[in-house]
Amino acid sequence: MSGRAPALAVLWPAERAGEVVPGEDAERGEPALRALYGLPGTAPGGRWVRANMVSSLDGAAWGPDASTRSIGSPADLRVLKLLRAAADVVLVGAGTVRAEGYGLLRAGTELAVVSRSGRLLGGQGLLRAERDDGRSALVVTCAGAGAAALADLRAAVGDERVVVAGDEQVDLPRALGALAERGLRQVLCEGGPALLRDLLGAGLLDELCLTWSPLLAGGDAGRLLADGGPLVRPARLAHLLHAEGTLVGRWLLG
Amino acid sequence: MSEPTTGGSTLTEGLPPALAEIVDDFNAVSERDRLQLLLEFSEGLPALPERYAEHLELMEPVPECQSPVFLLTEVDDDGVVHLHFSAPREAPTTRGFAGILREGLDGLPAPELLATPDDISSRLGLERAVSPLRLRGMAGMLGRIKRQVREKTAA
Repeated sequence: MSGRAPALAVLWPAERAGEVVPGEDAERGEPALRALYGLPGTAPGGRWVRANMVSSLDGAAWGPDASTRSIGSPADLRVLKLLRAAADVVLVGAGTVRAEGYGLLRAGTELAVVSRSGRLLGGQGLLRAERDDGRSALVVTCAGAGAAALADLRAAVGDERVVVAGDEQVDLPRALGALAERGLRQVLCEGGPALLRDLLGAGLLDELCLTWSPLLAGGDAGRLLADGGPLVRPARLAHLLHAEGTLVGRWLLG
Repeated sequence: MSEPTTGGSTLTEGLPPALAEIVDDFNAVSERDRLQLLLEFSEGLPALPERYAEHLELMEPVPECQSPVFLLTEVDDDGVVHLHFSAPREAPTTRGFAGILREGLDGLPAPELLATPDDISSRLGLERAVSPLRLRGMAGMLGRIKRQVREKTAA
């Protein structure tokens, strides 16, 4: 993907409408964009959980290729990079890791894969044995994965890289607590829809960053949130930006 | 247990007058308007006095809120309690709860503040719109306020 960074125009809040976060000159543009996505500092024991998702206009969370690549855009990518750089850890479901082909992130941002079954994700450079630098993903799982799977997992990523939280299901409050104890307090969740639903349902999500790409996707793609019964949460718009037809918003849920 | 009731004396039972008025206000309007009201309390939370603004280390963190919230109580020579909160604008729900506690409890004599029922967060009619975790954050704030006041008034 090219490094082209399109300018982003502020549409909302109204009093800032017309401001433009410069595009090509990333040196000038990034501080302005960072300020728009600024986070409160984290208190001892505190954390911040933000989700970043992309959607087609008709609400598809991925395109016909079963990944977000077909519905993303340069503007989306620009924000995604910024949010990753601002995060201590990117939290993502195992299904999304497979669908999107995640690799490890730049040094400074951990990748934590949530997997109830604890099944290994080999061949993507996420395991210690696959890498020269000895890094690996963190794996968040539960006791229900079973002793054998947990042992395999520990062998593959290292003992200290496995977070076991919960019995039959991953206990997300405990998992986030365990990540915070490692100093990973600024959490960026990139889906998928089941993980996002669970975070929201547990009241753990502080904000949603959502990009609407200017296209319709049809098909049988899922929504941003997997079904888990009725759930209504108010969201307050913090800002709405525009670039090349793409709308980029930030909503506060906390 | 949490059947919605309106203008019920049970909802305001045992509350200091300012807090009772807030609880009445919340229960007099629709769920949607309650969220708007909460936002107004969020916006109405006063800034920290300068002596604390640069010295959050003097304040007590409230990990139950999960977002970075700090609070401090002062009990003056007349035994009146003053409350100070730092809550991020990025967390309007939590900040709104801080705003409610500030408006409802600031300026009370210590014994009256200590008599405030602990279940205040469940009297606002927000159980469906706000997650239990956030509501527990409000209870956490009240618990820490009371503990500080108890410590500061212990002879």
